[in-house]
Amino acid sequence: MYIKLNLGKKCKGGVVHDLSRKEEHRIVDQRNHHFRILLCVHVPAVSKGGLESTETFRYWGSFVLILTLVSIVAHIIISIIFNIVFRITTGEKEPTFADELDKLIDLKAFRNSFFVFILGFLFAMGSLVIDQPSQVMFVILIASGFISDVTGSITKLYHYRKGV
Amino acid sequence: MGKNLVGNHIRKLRFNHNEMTQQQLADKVGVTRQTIVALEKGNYSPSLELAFRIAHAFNLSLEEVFFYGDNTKE
Repeated sequence: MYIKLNLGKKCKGGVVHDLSRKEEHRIVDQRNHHFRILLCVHVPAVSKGGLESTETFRYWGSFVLILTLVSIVAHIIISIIFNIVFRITTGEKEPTFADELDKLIDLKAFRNSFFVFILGFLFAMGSLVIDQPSQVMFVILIASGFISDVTGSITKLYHYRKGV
Repeated sequence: MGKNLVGNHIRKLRFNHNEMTQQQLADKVGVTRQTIVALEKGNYSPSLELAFRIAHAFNLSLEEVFFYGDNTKE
């Protein structure tokens, strides 16, 4: 009971009332305490911004979706242009399959790319921990996605030139 | 990146086999021409399966195509 009241004082907004009503009908156990503590910490933080926060997330959601679509289309167009230039300059077709060397290089590129993205993801989460706005988190996430992509490409280039 | 210790005589063998091109060998063993280039340059050690396929393409044993050691590399 002490914990319940104590948490109620710390929480802001209407969330506390809902939780208190639930508590009246339930036996307080340890798991519930954990759940409430998490809600009291997180829900006010999320609802603090209200509509503005929802708009922010909607904006970034649409931004990421549009960015994904644009990058897919750009990738297709660049591949087509590259194939045409490759065909003109070398006179040979680009292989339509990936052999063991390609797969090995792809794996190494994916490993490096994934490592960079995870670092970026951790930085993004870290920005939330140090009370940076959600925009900073999204910018770091998108930037890390871009840098991880570049890292993958550079890794491929390096291994194709220097060997595996 | 460590030094590749598996060497091969692929380049010499290609020319001994009616001047087989890299692309022809690549098609025969099921890899890309770039992989044959990497093998000849010594930038890549093939898997055991690919090594056997290349040896079979020349009708030779594995040891006649590939060798191990940095001193004997051509």
